[in-house]
Amino acid sequence: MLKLLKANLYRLKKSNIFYIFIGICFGSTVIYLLFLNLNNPELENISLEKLINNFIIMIGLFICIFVSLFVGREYSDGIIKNKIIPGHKRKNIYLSNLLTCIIASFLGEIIYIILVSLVGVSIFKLNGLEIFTTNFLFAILNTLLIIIAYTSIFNFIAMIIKEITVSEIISFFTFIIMFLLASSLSRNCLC
Amino acid sequence: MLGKTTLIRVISGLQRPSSGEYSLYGVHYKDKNILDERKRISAIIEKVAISQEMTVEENLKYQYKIIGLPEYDGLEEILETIGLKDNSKDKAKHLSLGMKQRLGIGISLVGNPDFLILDEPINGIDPQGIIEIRELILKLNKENGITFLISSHYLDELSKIATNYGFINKGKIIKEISKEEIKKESKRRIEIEVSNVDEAVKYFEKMGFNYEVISDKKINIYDKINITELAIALSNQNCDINNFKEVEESLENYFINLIGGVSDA
Repeated sequence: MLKLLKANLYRLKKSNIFYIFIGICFGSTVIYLLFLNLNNPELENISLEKLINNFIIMIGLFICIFVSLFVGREYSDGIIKNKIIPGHKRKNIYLSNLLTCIIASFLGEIIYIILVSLVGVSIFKLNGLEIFTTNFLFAILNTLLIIIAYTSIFNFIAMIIKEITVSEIISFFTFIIMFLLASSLSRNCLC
Repeated sequence: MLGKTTLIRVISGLQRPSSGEYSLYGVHYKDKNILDERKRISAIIEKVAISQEMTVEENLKYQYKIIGLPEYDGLEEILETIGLKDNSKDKAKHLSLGMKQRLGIGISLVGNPDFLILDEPINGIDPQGIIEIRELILKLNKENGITFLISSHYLDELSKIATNYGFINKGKIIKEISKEEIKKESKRRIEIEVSNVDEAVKYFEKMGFNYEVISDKKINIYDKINITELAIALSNQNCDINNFKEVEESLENYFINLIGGVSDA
């Protein structure tokens, strides 16, 4: 398992898809902060927790695309066979892929949190910001748990559907359904 | 020959057998220790398994990590063996098909396996690439002592390297035979081109040869003959020999005969 995780992290380090994912997380955060600043220069009534929670939807979409491409490549390139033939168990291959994708997704989220915390606080002077408050830490924990949930779902889809395009489409529609369900649930809860 | 890839997938652990059983190095496939035995084998099945976005060297290093080797010992030797030392920094996606196949063999050499399974290793490869793959296989067999199990429908190419054959038809092994045995069993013939077929036939009838007239110039003889005597005898009957060659039965013909004709193949 550890061997596979190390090998996956090596592949992650060499993967263009991973760097594009990180780049998109970075770019979208910058665009989001600029957009936010343009619409609301004072940034009143916006808390850091809210900003962190707002990214959950966006990163969900990015994770959906990243996971299906990263895991799908194992099938399309056939490199998953290089793991099975030397005797690695399928369970370990699955779990190591899941852990790798979770690590990559966390990195994407961490970039957002750092940017929002540092840039948002220092440049945009967000109101009522006190980093490391209980609410802030809860918001981070909440986001990380949601990222694990997202990654688990998309990793599952990518691992059972060998065709990269099909898994991409199914992951995307799963994300849309999850988004609509979450919106509907949150509206009901607020009512 | 149907069922080759399925057999190979089963042996290499990619697929469970729907019926029957097998053992690897004496360990039954349902035994837990089979995973240890699998470390001694390597395989390239259907398509070369390489990461297109990594370089040649990175692909090999990735396999070192998958197997769990702490150091990259022997990496340079592998690159040299597969003849890709000068291309070690090239991305796999930029390699030719033959080079990709050699890289695939290089990846399968990581961990020093003693049994290597290759499924259709020369499919789609140009003649130069085929020669390189053939030489690489022979070299690894002789120098590293690696046993190869090669599945291919290019039987003539296979006959240049294989020492033991297993013929599969409709998912079943119908014959296992060594190269020597095949040589003994296969029909040799002598193809001659003559100026006067009728005179030649008269002589063959007289001598009781097993022969077959192929065309108005060509005759196949399936018996051992004394060439000098034949040449003198035909010359005496005003029949010249224009061409003469000994032909061994191809592996392809052997297989076709084995399954009882083309329609069954």
